[in-house]
Amino acid sequence: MSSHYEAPIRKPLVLGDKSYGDISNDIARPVETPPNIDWWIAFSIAMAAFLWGLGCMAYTLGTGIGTWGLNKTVGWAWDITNFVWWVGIGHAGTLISAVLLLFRQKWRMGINRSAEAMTIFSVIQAGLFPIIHMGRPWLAYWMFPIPNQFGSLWVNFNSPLLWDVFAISTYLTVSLVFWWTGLLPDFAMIRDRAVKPFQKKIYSLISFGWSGRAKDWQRFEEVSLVLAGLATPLVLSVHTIVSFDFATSVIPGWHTTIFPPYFVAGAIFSGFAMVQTLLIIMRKVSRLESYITLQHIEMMNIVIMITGSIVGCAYITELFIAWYSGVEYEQYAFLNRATGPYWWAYFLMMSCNVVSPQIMWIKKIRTNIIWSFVISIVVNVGMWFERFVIIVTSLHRDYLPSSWTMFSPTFIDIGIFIGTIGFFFVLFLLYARSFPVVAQAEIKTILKSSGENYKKLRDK
Amino acid sequence: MNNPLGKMAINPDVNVRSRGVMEKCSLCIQMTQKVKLDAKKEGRRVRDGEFKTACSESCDDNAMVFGDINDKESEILRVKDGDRTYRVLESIGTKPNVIYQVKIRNSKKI
Repeated sequence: MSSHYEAPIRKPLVLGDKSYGDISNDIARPVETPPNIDWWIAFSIAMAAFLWGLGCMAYTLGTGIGTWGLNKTVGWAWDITNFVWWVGIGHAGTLISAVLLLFRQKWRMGINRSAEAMTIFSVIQAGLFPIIHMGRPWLAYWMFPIPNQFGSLWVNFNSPLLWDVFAISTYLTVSLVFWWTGLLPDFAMIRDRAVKPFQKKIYSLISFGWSGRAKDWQRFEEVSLVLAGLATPLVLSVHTIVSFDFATSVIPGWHTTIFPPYFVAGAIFSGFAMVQTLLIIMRKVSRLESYITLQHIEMMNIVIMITGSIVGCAYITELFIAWYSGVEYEQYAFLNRATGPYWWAYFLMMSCNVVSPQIMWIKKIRTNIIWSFVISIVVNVGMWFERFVIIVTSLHRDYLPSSWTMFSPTFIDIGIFIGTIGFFFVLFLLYARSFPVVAQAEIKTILKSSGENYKKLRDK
Repeated sequence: MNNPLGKMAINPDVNVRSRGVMEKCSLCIQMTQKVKLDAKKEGRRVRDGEFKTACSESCDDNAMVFGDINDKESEILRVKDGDRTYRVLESIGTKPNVIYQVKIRNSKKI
């Protein structure tokens, strides 16, 4: 009998009777051993996609936006769809690291490192699009409010597109700092075990002289709390600002106050789905099933289910308000989405985003790895189509029927998107072999209170 | 100066385009700016009718009027507040700077 009653819902967070040494060995193994053939195959595919995308971007840079499918009145299509998709995906990492830290959810420790890495890499992809979608990307520095010789011509502070610049750069900076701070003790762990001189040198450099003294830990905890406090409002504000790109306009289907909460919920939804996709593969390949357990997968599925329900609620609200408002432009915008030439995209969006997370109510499904993986892919596809539907259907048919037009992507549009996916996986695969992919220092702090051997000890 | 931006800035001293080439109307901003600066140099306000554009000057029927809506005596203000004026998609409230007048028809119904 244990000394006090423990609620049956508390399952161990670290499985497999691990000791501190085991944790160090498990997490350092992918860094210290050379990659196997699977990694090389995945890396080659990702690299090929990245190089193809780079070529498409270079072609766009040299020839112009005419190489894309954009035309009046569809001035934004795949470019901004991809931008919002990537930014949305990034929000999960920050939520896991910051919000779950403030809520003292220890289960975040197995997944936060990789989730934050995913955030950094996806914000990098997102940041490419505002630059390449400019007509003159070499003048991109004009976006920044720097005194100049055009009579000091300032940027338009009234524009949400500019607020995006500030929001995304703040987000990238804070995420990077948070991620790197958490990495310091883990880099130090690798540094201390490193035998090869070059490896030792590099990891000494990037661990910033971490010594493992109590003072270092005390500062570590303090800084984590401060950064978590800074990053938490960012989870809400960054995607709110992104939603303002649409909400502050006058187009039917865009000009609606539901966008901020709708977009934030959608971002967390798609972000957690991407984390699931990545972690389900990584835990198998890097043999981390003891750290990224079924409980973690189930918790993330629950978040996907909740945020998916919020998104579904928002869709229904939009439809209801379109009818209830009596505004014929708004009503047509939604009629067009459901029955017009892009009805198939709308149907995909509805089935992937509304229907699929609802099956997670069934415990058998949300604790099943295969189903979790399938649903995570389905959700990511659905969320891409959501942004596509919002952007293109509202733009291609708005107030004046004489301006109505159709949009179709060129192979450059598609190529650039595939290129960003390739770039993302190149970065993630490199990260998986050079960074400790689980926050092993944090895991060690919960080993004795939430690990499996502790539970066994107490039940003796 | 020998780039697209620089070439636009020297309007109206631009090279004549070949037939069928259209350019976006800049509302003769260079002429407008010259009128404003001349008035500033002479220490006076811009007089009504001083703002001209290429199209308003060449139109025989005075179909286009340009002016300063802050000037209480100006013709443009009379046009703007007149009964005949409307803006495209007025209900959205974007208040564009280009306003139109309804065609005069020989009936009471609009």
